Amino acid sequence: MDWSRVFVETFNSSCSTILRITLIVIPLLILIECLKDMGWLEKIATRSHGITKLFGLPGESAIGLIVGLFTGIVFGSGVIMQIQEEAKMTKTQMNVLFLFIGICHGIIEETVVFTAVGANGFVVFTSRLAAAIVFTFAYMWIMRAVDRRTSKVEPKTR
Amino acid sequence: MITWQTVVRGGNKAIKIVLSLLKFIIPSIFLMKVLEHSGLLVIIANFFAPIMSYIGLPGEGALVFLFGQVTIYSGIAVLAMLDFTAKQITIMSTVLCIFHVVVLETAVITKSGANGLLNAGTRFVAALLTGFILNLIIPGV
Repeated sequence: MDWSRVFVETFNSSCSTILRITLIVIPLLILIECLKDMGWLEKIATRSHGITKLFGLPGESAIGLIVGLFTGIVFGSGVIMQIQEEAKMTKTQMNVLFLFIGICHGIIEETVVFTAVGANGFVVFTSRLAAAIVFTFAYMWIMRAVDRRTSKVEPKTR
Repeated sequence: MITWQTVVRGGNKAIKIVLSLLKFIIPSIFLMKVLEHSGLLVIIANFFAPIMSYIGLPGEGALVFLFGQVTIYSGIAVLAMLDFTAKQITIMSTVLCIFHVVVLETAVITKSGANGLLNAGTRFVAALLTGFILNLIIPGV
């Protein structure tokens, strides 16, 4: 194995990859900070109460969903834990919320960075959102079916 | 209100992220170069090729998937090095976007009070299924 070539190629690849990512990440994070300071996340959240209702979630959870969607799981879960102290969501509701965020989070940053290495950002974003919606609904339907079955069985056992 | 502080705060965060990335990107790229020059990359790629072909990816995709479990940027660094077609990059990106850094993220999710195993399992299935469907519907190679 030719070690000198390994080191030269590592150096070249590292420089170009880091440069590419740096040039995207700096303006992007400044943009996200600007949006946060403009109260943009809250604005979207108040308008997306309808979406949370669709998933059978309380309206307060919208801000957690939006923060998770735009920033990432760590920030999102921090906000959700604060909401949870008042909203008292059930275990199923928490699973629904985190399934959605788990599949689809940090959408601005991740989509843009992948676009920089040659992916079709539109396809990546849409299919990810679609996957999140489909799998979250699938889980909801399964849980509803289970609930119905257990509530039917209960009277017989009494 | 946007002030100069907003820009400074964003810039500082970005520099911190980039510095922490150096720790992951350089070792990832070095490891990939060692694998490539020692011929191990071909062996690993051939091993995973039959499985990865279901989602339209060459065997090297398994390595992107694996490196993406360390940080998403390690995965991106490896992806940027490999010779994938435009379609393959899009599929790989989507799969990695759905399923990455799962150990850490699942820990955060479990701590928040949701079922971590259910979450990670669903993400894995969702990633593979989305890759499979994208492979069918995106035209080209």
